[in-house]
Amino acid sequence: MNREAVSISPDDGPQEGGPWLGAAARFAGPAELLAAAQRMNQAGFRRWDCHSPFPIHGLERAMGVRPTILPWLVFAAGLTGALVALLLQWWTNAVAYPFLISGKPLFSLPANIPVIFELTVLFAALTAFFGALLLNGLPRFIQPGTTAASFASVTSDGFFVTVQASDPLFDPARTAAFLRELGAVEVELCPLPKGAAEIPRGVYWALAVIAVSALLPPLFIARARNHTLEAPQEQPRIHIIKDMDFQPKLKTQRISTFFPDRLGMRPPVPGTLPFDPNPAPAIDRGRFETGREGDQFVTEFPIPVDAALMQRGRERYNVFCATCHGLTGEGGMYEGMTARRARARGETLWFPPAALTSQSVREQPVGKIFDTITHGVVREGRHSMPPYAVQIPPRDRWAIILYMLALQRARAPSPDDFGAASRTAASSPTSAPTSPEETRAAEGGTGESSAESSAAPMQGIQS
Amino acid sequence: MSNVNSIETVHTSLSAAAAAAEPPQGLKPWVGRLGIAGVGCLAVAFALAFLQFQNRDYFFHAYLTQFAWVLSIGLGALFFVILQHATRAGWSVTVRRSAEAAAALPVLCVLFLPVGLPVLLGSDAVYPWVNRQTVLQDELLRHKAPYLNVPFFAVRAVFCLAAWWLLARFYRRSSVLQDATGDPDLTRAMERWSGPALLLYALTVTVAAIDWLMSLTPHWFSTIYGLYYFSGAIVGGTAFLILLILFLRGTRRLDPRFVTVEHLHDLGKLLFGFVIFWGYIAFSQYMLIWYANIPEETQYYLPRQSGGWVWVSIALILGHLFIPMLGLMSRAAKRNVYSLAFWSIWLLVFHWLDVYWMVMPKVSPEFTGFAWIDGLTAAGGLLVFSAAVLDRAAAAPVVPLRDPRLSEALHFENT
Repeated sequence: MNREAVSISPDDGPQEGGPWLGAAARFAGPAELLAAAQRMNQAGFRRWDCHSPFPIHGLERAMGVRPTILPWLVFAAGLTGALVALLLQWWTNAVAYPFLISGKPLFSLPANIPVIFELTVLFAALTAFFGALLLNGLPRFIQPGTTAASFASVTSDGFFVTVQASDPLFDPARTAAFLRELGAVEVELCPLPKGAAEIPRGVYWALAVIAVSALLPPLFIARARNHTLEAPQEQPRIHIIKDMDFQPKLKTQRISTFFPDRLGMRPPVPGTLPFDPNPAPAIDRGRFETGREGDQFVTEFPIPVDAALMQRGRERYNVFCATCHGLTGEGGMYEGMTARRARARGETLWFPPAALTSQSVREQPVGKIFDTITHGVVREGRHSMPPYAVQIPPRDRWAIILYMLALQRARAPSPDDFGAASRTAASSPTSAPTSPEETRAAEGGTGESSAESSAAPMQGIQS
Repeated sequence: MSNVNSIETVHTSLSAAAAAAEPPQGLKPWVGRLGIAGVGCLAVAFALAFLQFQNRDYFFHAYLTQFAWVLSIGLGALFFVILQHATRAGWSVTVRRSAEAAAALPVLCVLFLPVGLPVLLGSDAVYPWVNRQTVLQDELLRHKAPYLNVPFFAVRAVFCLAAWWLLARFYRRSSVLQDATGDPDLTRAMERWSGPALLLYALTVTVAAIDWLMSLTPHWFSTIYGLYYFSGAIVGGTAFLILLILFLRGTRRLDPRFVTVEHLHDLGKLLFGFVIFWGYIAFSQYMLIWYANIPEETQYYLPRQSGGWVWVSIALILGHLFIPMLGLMSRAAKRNVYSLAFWSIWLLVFHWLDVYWMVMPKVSPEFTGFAWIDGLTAAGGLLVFSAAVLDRAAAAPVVPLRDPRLSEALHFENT
């Protein structure tokens, strides 16, 4: 701290020396400080401040401190944070890298709100912190007026008014006299310390070098982690945060080393109850849950059939079945996503999914289809279709079968399906076009063993 | 502290103290009027429900709605009192007596009877688990029966109501006794017991929310439910407390030199903070259920975001969180008597809508608008409760004049 402050007495003339940083005036107590602050404000000083060992209520009113703009800055920053978070999540999740997570929409507000909340707080808090510093003109190396020798007592019993030399009204002698007139016990003028104005150039250079070299490690890391098909690297990708890149977790289709049965996908714990918010009316549980009557497959639905069940079936079919059998139920090599993927990868040891609309499947009783969904299809010792009993509860299985019947009917319609329109055109009877694959499927092979009928949809389109 | 303002304040407050040493005048007639009007509203709602017999279940749900709403106001005020002692707050001494009056738990015990008695009599009109036959046919309810059964329900209800009654009584009795004796040990005792009191409060409010509201749909559960009810309770309790203070202050029963704009500002800050707390808790409950997407949990939100209820849900998000949050955000809004009164009334109404939204989807799955019974029960409950609050306010001086921290409250300023 600079101790070269000049103490002046009331009868001092114009002050020699300077240039001045400012003046500090000590007052006897908080009441005197409040009164002085009021007079300073009335006199029209602009760059001045009060200092006291403890907060004094009403001081900011006496000083005439106007309400700060800071709350509006913080509010705007909070809104900006919310908007930035929203755009960030929308762009990363729905645009740049769309990735479906547990069936949620790519862009959905509930999932985004925690990040929106955090960034709102972060932006607002940082703006409040740095805004308060900037609006107060901080940080600065020296606070004009606080270099006065007596100023140390501000932490115990000193009550001070400091005036900066940059204030338009500042004049060393007149200001000192005015402060004394306000009842100051002691007034000091603080000169600018010699040689303290300049920061050595080397400091700036050193800071610049540190700032630039601080950028280097992230750049190297970014280069070592940037592996794309377009820009392959010789060295393997490095992992900075190993715990994050390799997390111990269970994945549905992976082997688990933790459980004795080595299944990542866990079966429900014993005693788990099925939850159905709309319990079915009194039905034959046996037929409903197995699709069998004794050792015969049932040929009729064990539950009432209505439009709602059809809609449910359509929705569930599109979730569970369409990936392999396609949205139209044609299956084969071209319809479902798995088939297209397998073709693209050139998979050979793979059974193309059956065409659900084929003659052989159309002739199956509904109980047989139910049984197939429940237990899957085994060919050559492997599940060519996995059992879906766990994923699809019985009621949904029946709903899917109902929708399947609709798909079959759409594939092989009869004139009666079109009501009045078909009767007027009855003069030219057109039966459903029978595509070659149906004939072939009917000759040998079942619906499931439709490896050879895999090209059927193409032919169907051509015909 | 020797402060030019404070010297002045001490002189003015001394003259105010003389006026405040007596209980406020002219409140007693209003106790009877409000009480009769409230009981009348409830009776008309009851008669309406029984004239149209199909509305009997609706009445009991509407009654539960208003009870849970009014109870939360009283519990919010009780929380305010305990919190001031737990934090040894100085600023709030001059508003604490009003909160002690607003914690009118005895009348809430009486208002509970139409909720509790039907359960004791074996009616499953409101709580399906009361019906033994339903429980036997329902595997899930059979497993929950050791907790959800009538005798244990009654024991818990008595425990919760007794705990609140005793807490409210202890804090009010000690405070009023101090007016006579000026004994600082009373303050020490209230502070020493505030910690255990908060624990007891948290436990009982959680149990009550689970028993009286969550068990309406006994298959469903949410571990944050008690906290959700509490977060609404402190919004409602603070809003009611502000209105009570503004009323006492506006009619000069509470001298504005005791409760200055600084105190109102702080109450406004609490209200503002509790509004955001409610939003935080409400979203915490929604977010986890939405993300896991498990039917046994989503069954609560599905009816509330389908049909007419979706509009109530949206109204809650806007009217219980975003609009009052922006409205109360500025310093000026909290220091202006009229805007503070406006937002307190607004939040009391939306807090009622929140409780309505918790209870009513069970009995009217398709929300098609409010019924007369909704308004009558709500008005009746609030009037009866207000009568009891005024009765308590009229029985003691409006400010604890011999509280050791009174001076701190008189000199309180937001700087």
